[in-house]
Amino acid sequence: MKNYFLYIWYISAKDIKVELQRKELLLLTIIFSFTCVVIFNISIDVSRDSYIRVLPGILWVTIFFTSVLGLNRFLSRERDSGNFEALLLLPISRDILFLGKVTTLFLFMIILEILIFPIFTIIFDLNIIHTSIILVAVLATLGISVIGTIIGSMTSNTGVRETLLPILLFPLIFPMLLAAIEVTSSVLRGETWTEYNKWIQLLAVIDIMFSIVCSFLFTYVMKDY
Amino acid sequence: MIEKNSIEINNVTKSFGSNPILNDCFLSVRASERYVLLGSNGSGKTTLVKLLTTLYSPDQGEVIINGYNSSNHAEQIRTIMGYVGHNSLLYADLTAFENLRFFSKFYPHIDFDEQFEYLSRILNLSHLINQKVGKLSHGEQKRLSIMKAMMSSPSILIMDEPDAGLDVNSIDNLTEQFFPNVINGNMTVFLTTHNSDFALSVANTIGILQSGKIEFQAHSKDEFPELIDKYKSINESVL
Repeated sequence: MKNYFLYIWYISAKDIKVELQRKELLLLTIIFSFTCVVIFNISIDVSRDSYIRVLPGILWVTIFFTSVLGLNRFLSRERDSGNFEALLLLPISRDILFLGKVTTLFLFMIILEILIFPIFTIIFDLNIIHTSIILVAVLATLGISVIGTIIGSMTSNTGVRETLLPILLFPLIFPMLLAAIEVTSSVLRGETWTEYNKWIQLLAVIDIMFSIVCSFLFTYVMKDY
Repeated sequence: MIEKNSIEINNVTKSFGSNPILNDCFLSVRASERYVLLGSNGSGKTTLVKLLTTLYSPDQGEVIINGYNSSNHAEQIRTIMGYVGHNSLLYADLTAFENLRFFSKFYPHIDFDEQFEYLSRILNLSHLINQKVGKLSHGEQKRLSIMKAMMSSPSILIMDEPDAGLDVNSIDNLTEQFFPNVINGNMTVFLTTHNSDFALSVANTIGILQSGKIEFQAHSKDEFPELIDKYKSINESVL
């Protein structure tokens, strides 16, 4: 069991090392998300009260678009270079490989959110750094990473992967986006935990369910790679 | 005494959509044998290699490696197998050492330092070990790829066209340095190539893959010239 988690970490640590050498993915997505935030800020001219209504949507749509961009690049880069075949030849089960990729994506998106949240707070002059929002961000990010990795693995060897990934991904992560937007809105409106904790529970259930199902599915997705 | 087979392919069929690649294919490779499979482009060599390395599973039939059936013991097969492919299968942004260290972590039974020291010396890679793989020449990457495959001390080595893209000197190095010095007597080698001269220089047994089957085989050096003539005539008819 110790080796199981160790191997997941080896896969993820290698991805992080490669990314630190290239600095391509993180820079690209940071610039993209910053551009999104600035465009939204310029194009939406509303009062502070209206901000509270629209800002959660802007925040999570920005995170969704950025994660799709990063996901496409992250999975296709390794597949195009042939390195993914080397990982499939390792004497480990496919679920280790899957969870290794999920871990990398999760860490990568968390880093991105650590940067996006303060930018949002500064640009929109509205504090979104709150324990419940951080909790919902962690849960939603985990869900997006799990579903994104399985769908990204399915689409990364198709010719239309850039288009296909968001089309397939969006319906599956829609409940998560909805929950994240609802919790963020509730917190900004000053509601209490009891009023929005059902959304957090929903997110946790979705995360557990998809993590188990997708770990098994990955073996079949990788069949005849 | 019955000789043990390292590789057995029994009645294997593999298709992609309506396109059959392998059709009722049989193959046996004895332990410690160096089996070279010749075949023209599109004959199914790479599909066969992917079946042996557990990347593909057969539509019908069975693939057995050292007694393990690939359908339910794929991990065990990957533990005892080294693979050298068309591409180097190494991370271009990492150094040669970082690549070897990463892949070796998944083989806890090996003594990394000992293997690293031995193989880097014998494959003449010591001076390149701290360079990024992306900066190495094709031949150097191929040697490094061989080193990576050998790091886990595999009992079976699968090589898919190891001579592809190499110049004459590099191929000579492969036959004169690598095979005599690195391959130990107990290791089974299964290798595919287009190059009949290369096949002759390394093989104990040569097979020809044609129309999704091993159509011809030669088990002794005396039979090789006749088999190579057959291979050349098949290639000419394809052209």
